[in-house]
Amino acid sequence: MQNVPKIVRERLRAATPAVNHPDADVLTAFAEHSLPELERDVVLEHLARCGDCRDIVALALPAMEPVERAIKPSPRGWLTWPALRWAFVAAGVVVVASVGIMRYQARFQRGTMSASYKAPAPQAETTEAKNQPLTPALVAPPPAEKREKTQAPAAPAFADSMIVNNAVVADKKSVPGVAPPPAVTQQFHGSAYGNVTRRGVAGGTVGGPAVSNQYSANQWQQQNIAQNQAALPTPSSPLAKQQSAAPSANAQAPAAGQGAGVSGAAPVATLAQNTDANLLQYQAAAQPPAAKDIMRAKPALPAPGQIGGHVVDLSGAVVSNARITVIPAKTGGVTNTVTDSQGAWLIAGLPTGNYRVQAEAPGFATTVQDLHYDANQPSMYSFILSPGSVSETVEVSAQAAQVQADTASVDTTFTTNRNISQIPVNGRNVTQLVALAPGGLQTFWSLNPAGGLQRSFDQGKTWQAVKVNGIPALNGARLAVATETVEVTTAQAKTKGLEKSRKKVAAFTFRALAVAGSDVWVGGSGGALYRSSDAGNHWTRVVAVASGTALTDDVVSLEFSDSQHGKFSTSAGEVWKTADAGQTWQKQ
Amino acid sequence: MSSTKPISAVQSVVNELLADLHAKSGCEKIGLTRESFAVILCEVGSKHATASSSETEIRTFFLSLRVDELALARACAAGVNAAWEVFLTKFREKLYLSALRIAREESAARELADTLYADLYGTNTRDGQRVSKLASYTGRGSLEGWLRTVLAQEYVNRYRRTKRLVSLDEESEEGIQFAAPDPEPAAAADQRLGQATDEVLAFLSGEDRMVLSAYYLDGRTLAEIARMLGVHESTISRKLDKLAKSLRKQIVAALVRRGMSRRQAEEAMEVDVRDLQLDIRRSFAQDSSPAAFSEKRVEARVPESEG
Repeated sequence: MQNVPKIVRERLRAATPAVNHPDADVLTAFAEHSLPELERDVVLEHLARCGDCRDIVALALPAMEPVERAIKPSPRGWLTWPALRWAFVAAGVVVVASVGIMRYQARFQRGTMSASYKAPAPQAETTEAKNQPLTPALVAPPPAEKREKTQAPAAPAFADSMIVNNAVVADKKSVPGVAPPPAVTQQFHGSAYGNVTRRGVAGGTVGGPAVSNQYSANQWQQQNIAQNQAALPTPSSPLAKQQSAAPSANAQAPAAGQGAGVSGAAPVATLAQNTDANLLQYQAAAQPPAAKDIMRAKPALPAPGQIGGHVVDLSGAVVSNARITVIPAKTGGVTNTVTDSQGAWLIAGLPTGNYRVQAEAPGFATTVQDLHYDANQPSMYSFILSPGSVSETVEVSAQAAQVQADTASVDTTFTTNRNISQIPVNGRNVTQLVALAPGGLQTFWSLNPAGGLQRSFDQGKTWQAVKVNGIPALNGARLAVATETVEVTTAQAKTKGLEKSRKKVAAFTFRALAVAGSDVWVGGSGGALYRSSDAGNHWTRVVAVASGTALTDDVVSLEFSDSQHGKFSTSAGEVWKTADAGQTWQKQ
Repeated sequence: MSSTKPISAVQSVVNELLADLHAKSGCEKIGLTRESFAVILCEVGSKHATASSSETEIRTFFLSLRVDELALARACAAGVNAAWEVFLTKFREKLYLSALRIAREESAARELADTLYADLYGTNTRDGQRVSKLASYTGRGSLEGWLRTVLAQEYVNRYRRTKRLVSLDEESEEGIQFAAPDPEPAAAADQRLGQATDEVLAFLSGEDRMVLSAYYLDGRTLAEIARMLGVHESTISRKLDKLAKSLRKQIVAALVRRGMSRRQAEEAMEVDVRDLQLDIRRSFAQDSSPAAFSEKRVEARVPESEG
């Protein structure tokens, strides 16, 4: 496109400032082409001079294409190398063939070299994972970055590794490596996952399948074979070396699989160094250290017996701390997990069957998938969450079963962690919860991120939303009529700067919570301040008045040292104190 | 502007069309009475109509309104819960999604949506009366589009202003080169250049100038501009090409008309407009011209000393 002379640009810019911006109605009608000719011209004239209004029109355009989906195959994968593509295909074919054989063999040869033989890929990765400390440079750098670069080298290396009979591979993977039990990976796996997939979240991990579906599928199968035995029973039962190796290998393998795509070079390199280390670690089979290794290992597609995926939002950003609930159709054992900081989740040890998987996170609409899960064909079940009202702050206690009845593995290791991670503190220190427990009742109080109040009588296992004087605990849709009108002076708010101009939906969100003895205080937007002396069953509204002015700013933090003395700070930066349980207040 | 003529004209048209519009609006379902709906229609019509509007114009206007969405919006503004239920079901999700698209970043989007939400719900009161932004919706465009526009307005008002200031700092940081002003061009020549360009630009239609501004000042893509105007991308592309070619010629011609020789004129076009910039910068400083600090794409050689 030819450029216009600079002078033109300058004069365009200097065009007389636009006044009389058309209002939203007219702009909308303009954008939707429902303005009569004359009016349209007027608007166009204005738009010719007014960059702001042009911006508005552009911003207000409806979405053309769906918001960038997280699950987008990486455009520049190693498969852009035609040679690699074919290498892949060839490798895939070989793998399929060997898979068939291995599968057959695996059933009869427990813990023999064949296992290691069979799962060259997994081993590659496990070694890689274990080699984390040894070769941080290779493994640690965000796979995402390496994805593009190492694709090429990865391919041949990996392709090799895939070929069972490749001497090179066989060498290096003398022994299944890392012991880390897959169970361990439940949560950590995720993070390994996460590493791979930064942009286009699933890109990395799913980039695997998306880009080379056949390949990864093969890989899974391959691992599956090797792990067939060890899949369900956990690593904690060190059946046979290979067994535990295999699962861990599996755990790693998918990561590796991705890793292959991601940093193929790494595994290969690390392989070289690893043979002995493998043996040693492998025997140790210490779970915690392994976990750490796995944490840094490349994220993996779930191995057989594992189910996992990602949770992302519409823009492709990962959603961490999203709760994943897996409800089997048959048995009553419900599994819960939480996505890690990379938005990934993984659950191992699920038998084949129908499941309902649910992903929820504050601020998003809960998404549910019904799926049939075949333990031999693990797949990714990722979620794209769309923003929505805070749907649940209540955990349905009926599904509180946190211990899986069928497998002994996963949960035992993590029960504590999972409990803690599932308490909806969302960033607050868990120990704060303890501090919140009022005297004898052992009630836990918390505010959900959306500003609703909730309490738990069972140390945080289940929470109930608490209504404060008819103001529902939920934010958003349920805008019940406020019990008092709150004046939010817009002008004032705006001049106070962006920070303070936050006009929360007045009177409906609580931001501060304090417990003193048997009293519970909550404070929130628009000067809302409530106290309950009976564990939240009844609330009284406390109108804080100091030097003649009532409180209208948001309460952002509350502190009560005992039932009489306390203070809170407001969004305006003031601190109000009381020494008589809120009857009178002094501003600091 | 509340002369009696438009109101009475509007009134009569409303009465005429009320049955029809009322049926279309379904306002009974959302708790709006026929009478109040009639009042609303009159209000909307009066805002739009001028003293010179003919009856046919007014009628066309009313028939082009989206009365069902208008009824919904006004019922919500009045605080009817049933209406709110409907509104929320239809638009809550879209509001957040649009906010996300506009703000691109989750927390800003959430804040944007929440703020608008509060405005729509009417948490502001004026003289004891609940004031809801929805009361200003008149049904000329779709309610969904209106919501997006309002979101965009809020966003631009809030975030873009500050962003613009920042981007100037960034420009300086990035070290945009400021060469010394060329000593040759006299002020007189510059003035003529500016005038000639203004003259040529004035002959362009608003649409042309808008396209030029959007492309060269805002840095928008052809596709975006095309969507803004509701035409095909290729139309915009062709238009810009034509304009770019013709502008130069026309400016030279205008300069010649102002007494320059052809060669002078063409040289003037090559001149660094940095000196000219002085004036522009000053006038920028005075008015709130929004295009002041926009894209760095345009090689704004702003002399730092003047900044």
